[in-house]
Amino acid sequence: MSYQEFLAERDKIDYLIQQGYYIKNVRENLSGAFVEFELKMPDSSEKKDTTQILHIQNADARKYFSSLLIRQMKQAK
Amino acid sequence: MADLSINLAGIKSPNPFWLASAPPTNSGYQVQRAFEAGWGGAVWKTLGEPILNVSSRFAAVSFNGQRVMGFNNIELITDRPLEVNLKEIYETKKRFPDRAVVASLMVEPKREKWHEIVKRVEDVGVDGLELNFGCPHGMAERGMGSASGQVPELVEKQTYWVKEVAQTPVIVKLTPNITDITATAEAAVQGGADAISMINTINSLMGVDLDTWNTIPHVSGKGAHGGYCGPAVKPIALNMVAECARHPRIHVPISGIGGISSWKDAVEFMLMGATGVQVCTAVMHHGFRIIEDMIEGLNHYLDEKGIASVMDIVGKSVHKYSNWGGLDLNYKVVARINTDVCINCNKCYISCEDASHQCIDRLTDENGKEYLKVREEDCVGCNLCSIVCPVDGAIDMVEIPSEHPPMTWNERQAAISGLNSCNVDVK
Amino acid sequence: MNLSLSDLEKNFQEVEPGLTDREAIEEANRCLYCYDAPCIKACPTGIDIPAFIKKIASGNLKGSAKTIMLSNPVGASCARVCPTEELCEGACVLNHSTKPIMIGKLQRYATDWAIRNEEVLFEAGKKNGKTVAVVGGGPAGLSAARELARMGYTVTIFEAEKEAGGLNTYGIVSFRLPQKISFWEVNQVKGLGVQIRTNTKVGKDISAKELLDDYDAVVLAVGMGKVPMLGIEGEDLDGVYDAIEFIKETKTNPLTDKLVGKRVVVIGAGNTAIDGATCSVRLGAENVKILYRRTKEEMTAYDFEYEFAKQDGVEFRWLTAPKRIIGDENGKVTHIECVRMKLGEPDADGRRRPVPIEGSEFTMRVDVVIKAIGQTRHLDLIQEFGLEHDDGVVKVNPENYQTSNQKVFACGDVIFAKGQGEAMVVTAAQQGKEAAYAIHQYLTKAVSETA
Ligand SMILES: Cc1cc2nc3c(=O)[nH]c(=O)nc-3n(C[C@H](O)[C@H](O)[C@H](O)COP(=O)(O)OP(=O)(O)OC[C@H]3O[C@@H](n4cnc5c(N)ncnc54)[C@H](O)[C@@H]3O)c2cc1C
Ligand SMILES: Cc1cc2nc3c(=O)[nH]c(=O)nc-3n(C[C@H](O)[C@H](O)[C@H](O)COP(=O)(O)O)c2cc1C
Ligand code: SF4
Ligand code: SF4
Ligand code: SF4
Repeated sequence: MSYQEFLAERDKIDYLIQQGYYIKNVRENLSGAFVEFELKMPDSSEKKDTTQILHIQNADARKYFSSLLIRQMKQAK
Repeated sequence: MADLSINLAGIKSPNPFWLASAPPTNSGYQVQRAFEAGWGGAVWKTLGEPILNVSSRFAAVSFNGQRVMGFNNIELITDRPLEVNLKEIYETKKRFPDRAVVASLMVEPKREKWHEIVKRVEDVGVDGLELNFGCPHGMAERGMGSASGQVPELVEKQTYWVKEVAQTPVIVKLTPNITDITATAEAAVQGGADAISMINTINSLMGVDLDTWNTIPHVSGKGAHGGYCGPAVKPIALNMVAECARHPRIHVPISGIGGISSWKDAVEFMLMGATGVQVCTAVMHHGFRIIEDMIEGLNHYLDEKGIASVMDIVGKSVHKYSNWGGLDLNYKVVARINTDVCINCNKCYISCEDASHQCIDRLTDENGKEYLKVREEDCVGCNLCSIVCPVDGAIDMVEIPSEHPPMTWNERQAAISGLNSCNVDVK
Repeated sequence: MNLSLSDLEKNFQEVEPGLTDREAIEEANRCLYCYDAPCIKACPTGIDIPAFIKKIASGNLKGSAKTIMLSNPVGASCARVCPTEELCEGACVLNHSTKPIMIGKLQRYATDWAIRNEEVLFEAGKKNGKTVAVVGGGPAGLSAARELARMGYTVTIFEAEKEAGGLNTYGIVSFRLPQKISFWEVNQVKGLGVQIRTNTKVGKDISAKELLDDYDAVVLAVGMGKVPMLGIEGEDLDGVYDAIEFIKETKTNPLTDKLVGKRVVVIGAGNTAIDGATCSVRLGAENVKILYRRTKEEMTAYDFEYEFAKQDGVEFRWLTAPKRIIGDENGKVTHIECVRMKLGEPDADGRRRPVPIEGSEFTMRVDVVIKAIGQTRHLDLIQEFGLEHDDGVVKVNPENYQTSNQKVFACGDVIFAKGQGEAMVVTAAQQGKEAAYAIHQYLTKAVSETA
């Protein structure tokens, strides 16, 4: 049930990360979290959108991207 | 044998167990009997202008056949003249010089009243004073007890008046009938208190008689709110002690009170920052003789842990008590049902199904025998099933290692806002 | 029936399971923690029962075991063999409202904890330079020794058997009292520096005189002896056993299958008879009967034992006395001839005397006859000490257990007078304690008088 929702949302997040995106912005409201991803390197072939927004609703998935975000910020330092 | 003696703001006693100011400390006869039984100290029944009591004063709740889970009273402070009490305090202290005798005091919030009583009490040789800002009933209607104990300025001012003349350490006893006890605790510290004690009793109405529609207890058909204490209030008291212990501006020793019935309760209070404990209801229920097990149990506990002095455990758990925002969101436990121990009452199933996250499956094995299994990936680790399970060892809450490092809510929010604000900067 | 030896061994495992943690907590919390509790007064050793139960409830198990063992040096054994419904549990106030607290089982729970955790509960007192010899290492001797050692005496126990513990070690069947429980109690006493000289029979390996000369005082706690002769024909046939020897065999040597499928009669109706009978059942006997010349009313075995035997399938034949044991040409028991009895006038001990009904003789086919009609007295030893006695029951001052020789104090079964029902471990233990205190008084008084 909720674990399936988590897996689905986690997969979407993982996919974008694999594709070279990083978390650029997070907006949270009554509907959950809207996470904005941006390509680290602009795609020369222009097949990929520069930014993508995921609507993350599942609680564990919201923990998940937060952990990724903290890791990302640590790596940036 | 560990060293059980304590030193609470300069008040020394051979063990951390004191009687709280209440009926068991009403007279010299009682306190001396208690000291014979082994109690380390006693806070005398609150002294002040002798009052009048009503008849029919106590009531208690039984829980699942166990008597006195909670206890309630509408008794006031001492009803005996000050001279009588002072004479008995003097005699008691003379007979038991090594025990702590603390006088509990309550007078109107007037400077001269406090000065007078403090001097007279100290003249007979008490080891310390406890200011009763806690009684929630009766005295409060006259502007004393919790009525003044709920107003930080009054706590501070009265403590200050007492400190102007007091020669012995001053403990301020706080009422739990307040939203944030650290506010009054801090006020007491500001006023110069050498220590604080908590909790006094909690406003309560024990029940209503279904046939007479009278309150329980009632006095000639009428009731008034009383003060609640006993095992039921322990978690409330323990939290209040812990909140004060971890508060940076409340740096005085704490005497823990509220629902303490055994050596284990005492250890918990001390780990959470109490330097000693006070007991009332457990003694009212069983008599002074419970002290034997309290002392022996504490001794065995310390010996087993290899701890030389009971003072060494004071506050050892305080750093583990934090704000919710400081808890690790990536920590995960899940329930695991041990089928061989389970007796198949299905209580865990229905509580998870109806009140938690619907993650216990009812399955049948190859022999047609029913069993339960937790879908661990859906389990949120709320503990509910293991709380309702009647069989020890049938449900374990097991830690699942996280793939991520610890992350608190505060860290998460800081990361998100840091991210968003630096984006703003860029734009 | 096809019983393997390992089945028999299983039969000799302790029957009663101990309480689980939860059972113990629930039961402990049911105790009212009475003040001046009647259960304490009903315990011959005066264990502070509410206190030890409270300590179980509070999680102070070491303290609980200490409270028990302080009053009763064989408290772990007593938790299993005391007739609790006649003692503490019988006195529990809850008999009048709900149901009595399972005091024996809680006592076992606490002492089992101490045994499991190998706790040493007591320390010897500071040596006072005086020596006491204790003759016999059963419950009475061990208790006397433990208390004397705590008061600072240098104590030596002389024990005829290979191990100390007395009937707890050798006499009470394993499925009621495993030997390891008794050994733990023995070790607690050893832990206080008491020297136990086993395989040392006073009167044979060392003389009474030597003890009287070398020690400041002597505790005589030799219990009773073996089962007396029935005084009937055929008693020395192959297949006739002494119940105490018979039980001892099951506690010392590997079990054998010699009783499998056999018909057994046990003669007598006390503890020993019951233990002999249930032992036989558990050794695979096909049929076990207890013959008793009086009725169930006069039987001395405790009710719980009687129930236990019945559950094991033991049959009872009341008002039946043996007349003659009959053997075959090889000297093996084949039959027993009995006679029916009726009860006549009460005799000296107040019980009605059984008298044979003439012409009522009958024979039964049996393979084994176990004699359990009481125990003899250690007359020789008593005489060697030169003590006054009543038919082998050592005479003591009931106040302090002092015998006709002021240096010798006697306690336990050795002073157990006939016709008082059954001897109990717990009384032996209490007498041992009291004898120790009396010796202390005797020896300190002697000092202050000479000083
Ligand atoms: C079969 C049976 C079942 C029983 N069941 C129960 C029961 O369920 N509950 C209960 O309360 N009681 C029971 N009893 C009674 C109980 O066992 C006794 O009352 C108790 O053991 C008496 O203790 P004691 O120390 O006086 O004697 P014993 O236990 O007999 O100990 C005497 C010790 O002295 C030693 N000894 C003897 N002579 C010498 C010597 N010359 N030199 C050195 N050592 C010597 C012996 O070897 C023995 O170790 C039972 C008894 C029997 C026989
Ligand atoms: C009958 C009764 C009378 C009490 N009287 C006083 C009092 O005079 N002064 C005081 O400071 N506290 C008084 N208390 C409160 C106790 O000292 C103690 O703070 C409270 O009962 C909580 O501890 P407990 O759970 O161990 O009972 C009283 C409590 C009871 C039950
Ligand atoms: S811990 Fe909570 S969520 Fe997990 S199985 Fe138990 S009740 Fe359900
Ligand atoms: S609550 Fe405990 S005993 Fe009952 S079914 Fe669940 S696991 Fe089994
Ligand atoms: S009499 Fe019964 S309820 Fe009372 S203390 Fe003894 S065992 Fe407990």
